[in-house]
Amino acid sequence: MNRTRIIRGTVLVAGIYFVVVFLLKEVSSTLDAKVFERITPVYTDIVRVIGIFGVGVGVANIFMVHVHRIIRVRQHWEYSIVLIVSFLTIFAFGILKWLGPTRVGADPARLFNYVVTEILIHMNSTIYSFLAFFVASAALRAFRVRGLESAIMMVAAVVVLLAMTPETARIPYISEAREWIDEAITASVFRALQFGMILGGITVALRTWLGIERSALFEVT
Amino acid sequence: MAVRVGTYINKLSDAIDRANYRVVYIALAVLIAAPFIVGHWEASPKPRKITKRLFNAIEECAETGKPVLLINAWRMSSRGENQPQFEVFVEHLMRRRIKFVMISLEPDTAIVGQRLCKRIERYYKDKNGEDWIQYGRDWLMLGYRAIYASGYWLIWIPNIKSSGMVKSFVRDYENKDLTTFPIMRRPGAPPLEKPGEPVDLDALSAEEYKEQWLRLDDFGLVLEVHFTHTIRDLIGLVRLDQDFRDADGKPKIKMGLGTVNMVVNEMLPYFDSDDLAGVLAGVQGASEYSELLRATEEGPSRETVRQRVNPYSLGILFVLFVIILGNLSTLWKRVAQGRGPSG
Repeated sequence: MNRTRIIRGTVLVAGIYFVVVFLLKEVSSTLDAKVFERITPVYTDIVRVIGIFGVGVGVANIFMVHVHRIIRVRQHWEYSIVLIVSFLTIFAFGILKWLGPTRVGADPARLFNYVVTEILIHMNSTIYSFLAFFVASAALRAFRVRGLESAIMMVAAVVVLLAMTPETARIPYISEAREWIDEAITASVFRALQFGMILGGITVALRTWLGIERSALFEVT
Repeated sequence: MAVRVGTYINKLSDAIDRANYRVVYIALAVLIAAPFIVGHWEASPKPRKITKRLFNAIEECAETGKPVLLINAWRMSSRGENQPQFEVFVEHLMRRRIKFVMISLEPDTAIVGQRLCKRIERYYKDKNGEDWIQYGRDWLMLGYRAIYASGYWLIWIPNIKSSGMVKSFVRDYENKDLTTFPIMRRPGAPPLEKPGEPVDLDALSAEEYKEQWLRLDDFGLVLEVHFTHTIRDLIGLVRLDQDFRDADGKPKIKMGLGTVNMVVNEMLPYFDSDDLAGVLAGVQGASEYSELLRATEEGPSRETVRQRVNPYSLGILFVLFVIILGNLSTLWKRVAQGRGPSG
């Protein structure tokens, strides 16, 4: 039996389980209580273990790629050093925190929390805040009225933006207009979009479950 | 004269089109930093329907005595919008002494969330006395649970449903046994005989465990800050699972969401269909919620909201300004070239 068949078989059986749980639960909640409530936790534990192995594979992959780049002195190898050092540092702090103060001697949780709250948090916030600058720059250059459609969009955008700040939301009818745009137009459009997305999701799920999706998952050589 | 004005406008229009992006960046940076230098001002937005209904859903929990499950899933990247939302929720829960259990799905906000909860708890203890609110009795933090991260809830929820809260999560963020905390008892179940001491769950029958210890369907409201995946999975579960519906077929658990402005539109259909009790939309939503809280008394989250809403407003107005400026420039060029406003 080749590996593709094993993967397809596992996916099929795993999928069947949840379908059976769902269907039988609708028929009889007693059956669900007796059988599935004992099986489901075991089942989800298996998923958890597979997920953790996935993390392990990801970590190994990162190391292989970046250590290789450093050894070969390839382009941007300096950044790879930063990545590996940062990774090992936070990993070491995490292990020390896990060992606890009795084994380490000092309180390692304080050090870990310091790294998170004083370094990671600010770096994270800084990166996301770039978005505001890109939006402002794009608003000046790209958001221009070039026809009827863009004019309609512009009017809607201006109304929504005006309603988004407490100061300008007091302009008569602005808040009401924004609520109308949200409830009558945006909600309808997103509902239609979500229908499409969910139908697409069901299609992909069914194809994967039945093993007819020609994705990387089944292309094992 | 008219020709000279036209020339000036042409030059200005060219300058706008060729404006260095650094100028835009600096202008925006100065503007959003200004409130921190010159001081923040009071902004009082009018609460919208989506905000008011969420506020009322939390108030309802105070009346029914049902606990709230607070899912803390925001990241530091969206701190500007999510932190005020988180603070107004916690303030409301602690002020009204609504029991709540908090789970964090992000490691950095797990630490920040714990810190914020403790600060608000301190505020109410100083104000109303030490017994007003107590950790373990009125609120509990399960800490960071990576395995419950978004996308996996659909698998974990049936697990939590069948195992109950205590057997699913086992320990709180400080690694203490969940059976030592009175909040983990079901509403209406006899209180713990010896609070602080662990209970041997193996000594209980399956029925006794189910009757006495907190279950997912005991929560009156699930509040989530940031991600939409979890709340969507829960909406699906409540819709489909008969255990989460009452005799009339109505959902037993209400859902509420505080999320970034960018994501709110995605969730509007769920509000429309009553699957969501309400949504806080970005800083604006937090600011509206803060107004509702302020109607009775000023709280500890007010300062955070004020600090965020002023730079946010100025940022929005700046974006609006540059949109108008860019379009005036385009319009002028088209008129000057005799092409008309629509090109």
